[in-house]
Amino acid sequence: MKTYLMRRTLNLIPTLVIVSMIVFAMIRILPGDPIYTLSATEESEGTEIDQELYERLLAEYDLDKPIVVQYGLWVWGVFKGDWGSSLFSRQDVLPQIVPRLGFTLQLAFLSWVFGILMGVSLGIVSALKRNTTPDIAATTFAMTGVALPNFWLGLVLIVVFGVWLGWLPIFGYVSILESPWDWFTRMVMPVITLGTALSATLMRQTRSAMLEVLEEDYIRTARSKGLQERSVIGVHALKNALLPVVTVTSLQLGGLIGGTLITESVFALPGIGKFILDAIIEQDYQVFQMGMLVIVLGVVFANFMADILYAYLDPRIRYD
Amino acid sequence: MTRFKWLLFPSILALVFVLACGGSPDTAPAEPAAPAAATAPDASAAQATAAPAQSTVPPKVQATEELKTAPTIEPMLAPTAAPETAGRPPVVPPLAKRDDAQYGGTMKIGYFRKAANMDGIRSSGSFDRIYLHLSNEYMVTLGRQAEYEPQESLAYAFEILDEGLRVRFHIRDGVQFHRGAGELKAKDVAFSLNRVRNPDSGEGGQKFWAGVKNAEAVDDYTMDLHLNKFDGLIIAKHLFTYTDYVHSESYWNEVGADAHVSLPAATGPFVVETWTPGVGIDLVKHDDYWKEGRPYADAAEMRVITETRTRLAAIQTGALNAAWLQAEMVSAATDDPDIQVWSRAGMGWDGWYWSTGLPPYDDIRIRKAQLKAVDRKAVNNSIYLNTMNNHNAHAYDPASSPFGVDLTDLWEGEMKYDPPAARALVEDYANEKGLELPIEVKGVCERRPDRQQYCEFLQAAWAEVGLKFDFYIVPAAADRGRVMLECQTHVTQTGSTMNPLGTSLEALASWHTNNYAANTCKDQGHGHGPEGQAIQDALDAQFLAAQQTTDPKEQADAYKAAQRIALENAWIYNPSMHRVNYMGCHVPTTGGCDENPFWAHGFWHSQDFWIKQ
Repeated sequence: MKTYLMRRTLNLIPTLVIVSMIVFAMIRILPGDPIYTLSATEESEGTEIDQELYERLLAEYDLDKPIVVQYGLWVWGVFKGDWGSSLFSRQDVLPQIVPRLGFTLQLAFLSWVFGILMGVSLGIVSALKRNTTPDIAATTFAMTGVALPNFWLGLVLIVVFGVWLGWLPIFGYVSILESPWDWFTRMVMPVITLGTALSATLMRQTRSAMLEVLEEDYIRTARSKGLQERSVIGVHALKNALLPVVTVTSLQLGGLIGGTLITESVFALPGIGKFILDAIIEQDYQVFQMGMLVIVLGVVFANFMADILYAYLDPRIRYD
Repeated sequence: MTRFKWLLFPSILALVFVLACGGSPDTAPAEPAAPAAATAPDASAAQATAAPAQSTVPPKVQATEELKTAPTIEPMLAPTAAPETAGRPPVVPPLAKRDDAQYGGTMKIGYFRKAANMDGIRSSGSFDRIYLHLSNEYMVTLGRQAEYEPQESLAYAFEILDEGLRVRFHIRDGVQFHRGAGELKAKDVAFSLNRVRNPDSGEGGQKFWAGVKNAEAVDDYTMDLHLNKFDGLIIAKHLFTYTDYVHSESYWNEVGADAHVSLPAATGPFVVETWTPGVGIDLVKHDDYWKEGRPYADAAEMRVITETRTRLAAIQTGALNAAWLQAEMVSAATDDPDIQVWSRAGMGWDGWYWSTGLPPYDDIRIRKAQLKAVDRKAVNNSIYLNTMNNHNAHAYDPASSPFGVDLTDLWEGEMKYDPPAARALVEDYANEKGLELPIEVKGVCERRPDRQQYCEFLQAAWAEVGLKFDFYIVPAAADRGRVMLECQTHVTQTGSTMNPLGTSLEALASWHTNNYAANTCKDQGHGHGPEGQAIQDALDAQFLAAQQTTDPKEQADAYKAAQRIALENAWIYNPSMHRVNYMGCHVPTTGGCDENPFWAHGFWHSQDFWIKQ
């Protein structure tokens, strides 16, 4: 296991180097020049710039240096803990990212838990009540959940629970430390919005895995030796059926971290997804680079953890 | 299942960690970067020279009136009864507070885009004003009728001296800066106005304020602005320019430009407490605000809600007191009895301009054809859901401004939508040059849904008259100009805020200087030719005439004449559409909804509204 862990850890290094290069290059490939925007004389609609200011800003942000030097300076800055500052707000990037990342992790994690609870539960019920009304209902939910776009579901929830019923606040975020109840009411709709598609996928995954396992000889054996049905399902069937489900859920956690953008936009939430989108639109180099790097690190780490967990659950993997 | 028990503890631990470190970005204080040194701009400038308007007039430009030569101007508006200070005009008190207003509470405002900064430096567009005017103020302010409003201005009077080469501002006493930075003095104003031309401050104001030589404090409450040359728009520029907010010199020097961007010391009704870019701004009441009894609310929250349906839902439920409404929201908001919808006609325009030095735009037939090919009413209906104002003025809507002028004769005359005539012009040009139709023209558009739709509309309209319009999309408005300067395209689509006095006049001038008669291609002589110069001279003559009189009627006539001159010679750009901006006010929770918030600079004049208790 130790060797496996070390090998997987070393594999991360080239991944991160390549990713950092892609992230660095990506924002610069886009058409446009943020320094030009900053130097545009006001009300000229950009037809005039202040050349002196333009050159001064290029130098200030090291954008007048060769691209390789710029990359080196950025990487060196990351290692030193200097994440740079926004071209526009001039605020340091690190203090802007930390709370937003915290929020996004929170939203992703809660949606993940919601998705697992809903998906696995419905999947088990669906498998056990195969071809009955509960199975059809759960399957319909799964199909709908996968088909519904996040933004549409979010808006429907807003209209129904925010405008028509007036039960839940429509936008914004309050920290759980500030007011647990306000936190709860503001997180309900975003979590359902983000978690529904995941739960639908997991429901289908669990159902099919459970149906497969329930046909196995050892389940028949367990039943024939007189074990209670609860024990047969809980201990023998579910344990084995969950193996592929665990893999899927681990991978989806990484995807959730990077996929909160739409939900954050719909509910006006202070997450990192929207933060990065704004940076792309403005071509705010440092903000985009660090935001993307953090997101990518999150996804890479989630995948790494999935590998570790999978190796733990299935010892054959370690010896490959 | 026992095999999974080991997951329980780390899962709980992870949940606790995530919940704890989630914190509240809404309330996290803005942490500015290290202060930067501040230096005043070089006061030395070119020798002052009077630059009266030239008399060369193109055939279509109306003859200008003989300019008046009175060197000294009285304060622009008659002051109300108030004690006269020795050597200074009588102080004009601020507008009275409303008797029915209530105090307390937090004003919540929803907006569609993030703020660029908190002090006006490095602003990315006119729409930043809605944030900036919560806390920042100008010396001279626009009033409800889109004219100079001394009752609302830090400078309650100004004089034009030395044949327009010196402007003297009389500043009110007792105005306090935020953050305990002391009283506003003339030296702060001079510092603020000098700073905008200094690249070290991060402002791109050098070209815009090129006519300014220096700002100088005469005494604590009098400041002179010295000009290198006459600038017919000098007051207009002060009225609507987000880079010349007045800030405390000592505070700016103490914290530096970088920190000031986030937490400025200005004079406005609210003080920025926290700015979280992309999320919102938290502000608290400025206890020492100079207008008695204002602001009514104890605090204000500006929230960025990009999703229009969410913003609409928030104001429908009263979660917001006021919200910016986009075209797709206007109908539902208007139908809601709880929402008072306000608009300002002609706050902006959508159109395009082209580089007159590059074929085929060096030929006026193509420019005319493009204008005649576009149905302004169809643009309004198809892209803006009939929320724009397709009025027949040029810069000012006659219904909303004393400077408005009805130019129906021009719109319904040579500028009328007429595709067959447009196609004939293109064919005539093609035959003469030996070209096949369609003639290819290139363009650039801003990445924004309505702007992109507008370009697609132009593409279809121009295709009908024999012009193949291909465009590509850039992320920021300013990038369109960069592309044009680099001679990559012929035409760009644009928009601009224009109705209030300052902006409109400024726009008239900038269209001319930069776009109106310009070859925007830098390598081929960026600037305007003799024809354009003649138009500019004629416009300048009207602006000078407006400045050299105290008679409001004469001023209005001059501005109206300027608009007619501009439109008569509009074959170098297309003033195709006057945009209308909308805001909603939630009546059950908000006082002051009966007054249009669009007056003055701020799109939302926050200190005039209150929370109903």
